[in-house]
Amino acid sequence: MRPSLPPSGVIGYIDNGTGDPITLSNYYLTQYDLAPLIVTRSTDAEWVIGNFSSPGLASAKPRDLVPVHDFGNGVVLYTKKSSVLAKRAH
Amino acid sequence: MAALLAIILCAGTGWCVARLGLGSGKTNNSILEVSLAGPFGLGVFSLTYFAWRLFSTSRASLIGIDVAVLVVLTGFVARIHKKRSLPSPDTAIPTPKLPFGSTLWAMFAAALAVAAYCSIGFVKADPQGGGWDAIAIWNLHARFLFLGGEQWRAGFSQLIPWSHPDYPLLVPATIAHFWTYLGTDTELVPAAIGLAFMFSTVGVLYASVRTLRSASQALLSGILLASTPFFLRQGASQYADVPLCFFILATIALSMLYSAKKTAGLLALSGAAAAFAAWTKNEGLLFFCAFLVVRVFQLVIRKDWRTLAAQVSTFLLGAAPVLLVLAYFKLAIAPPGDLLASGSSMLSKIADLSRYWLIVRWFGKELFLFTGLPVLTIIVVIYGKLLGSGLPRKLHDSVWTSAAALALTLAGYFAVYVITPYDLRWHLRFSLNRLMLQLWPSALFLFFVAVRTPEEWLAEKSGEVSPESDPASIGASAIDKAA
Repeated sequence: MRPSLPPSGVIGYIDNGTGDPITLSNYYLTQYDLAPLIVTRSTDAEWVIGNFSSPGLASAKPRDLVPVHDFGNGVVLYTKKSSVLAKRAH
Repeated sequence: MAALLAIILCAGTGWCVARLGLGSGKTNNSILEVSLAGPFGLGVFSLTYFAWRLFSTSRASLIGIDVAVLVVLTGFVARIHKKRSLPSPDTAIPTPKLPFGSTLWAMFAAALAVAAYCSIGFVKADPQGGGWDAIAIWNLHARFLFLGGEQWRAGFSQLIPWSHPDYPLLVPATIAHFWTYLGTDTELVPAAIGLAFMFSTVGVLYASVRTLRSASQALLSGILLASTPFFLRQGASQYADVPLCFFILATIALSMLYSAKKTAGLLALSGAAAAFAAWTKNEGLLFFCAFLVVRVFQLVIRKDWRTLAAQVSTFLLGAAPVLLVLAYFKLAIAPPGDLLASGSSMLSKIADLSRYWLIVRWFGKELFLFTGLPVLTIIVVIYGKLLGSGLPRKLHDSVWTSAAALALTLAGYFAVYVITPYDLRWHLRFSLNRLMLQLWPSALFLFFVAVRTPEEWLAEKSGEVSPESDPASIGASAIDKAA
């Protein structure tokens, strides 16, 4: 996943939203592995990691996200629909 | 090769700092010297790394800074050595040989071997650390420092408040320093640093009790600490609590040695240790303030202004370099801490008596359970009851001020729980045992300094010293010999 992401800055993170310890630990591990990127638990970023690997509720993927790469095991890299449209316009 | 260079520079720097504090003469206390050298070297390494990070990103310049620091410190040590051509008095206290001395040595060696075996086992079982704080706080900060390039400040952003970006950097910066030498972020580095702090804490406890009291007392204190399961678990966990244990103990032990020897260097080194405690964790900053306030208060009520000025200035002189770096980090980089909730909610928590009662009950429970082996606390109580007090007169004030500083720190922990913005039960459950552990080696140190030694007890039993005579005078004479 690392080569698909910018070298620094802020990226978003969404998961099943259950708040259980496994979901939380997956988030911590993602931040640890992707440092020095800042991984915030929100979709308010150009790049958003979706981690739906742990069993739980169905994903609540916001509509303004477009999948860019499916890494398997429920891990998907998304980008904002608006940034895709902007790139196309260029 | 890079690892060896880093270890040599770190150990050399720490040895010079320890030497400057202990004095350059023959101290006959190589265990104390070695036990102080490692952690003080690691502390200085964290400062130089942080300073280097502010201005540069070149690895060669970091090595240059480390070499320059070592050369300058070596120069200071050499200068002091020249000044003091006469050898310092031997600080070891001559004590009668115990019939069970070799048994104690064997027990101490066995405790250390078991501690080494267990802690290496813990590291192998959890290479990334024994809990989430290692990944979510300490090693994460180290990764931001090491991998962040010019963007390293991002790691201390409020966007990830759960990583406690306001926590001081002694542990993360030391880890990042070694990673920079190695060129890779291997998990071996935080694990090795954790173990170095753990065994150094045992070393300082043994060596300082040995210097101030007796060999058997020192062995007993070392056996108890090395047999504390939670201490071993935390030492291998890559958390910052055991490094903080070390610096709190070093502050108290060095100030006590100062009381016995009256060498200014010891007080300056004690100040440096207290400041390193503040640079390790926010609780260390609380301890620093508590220790300073209690010492100042003790001299103020005596109206001993001259001693007050001399002691406080020497203590702060040792602390100043570390405090300056800490102040810069706190004021220019770290966001505000998360424990200070909004004023109105804090006031309602302060007025809620049920919170106090809950905290008191948890404190009472953890006091016996935090070690992971409740029998240890019982052993300490029985041992104290059996042998009784034997506090040397010269150390009387120092022991009481140190105990008061620990009590004040504990009171500070209590106050933080009262106002914590987190769920109180959750906060107590996941942190109180570690807070108790932070003070455990120092509490053991004060206990074994204050209690009568087996040598004194046996001498009294065999009628060499009359029971009516003041037991404190026995220790006092030993300290006089040392001083």
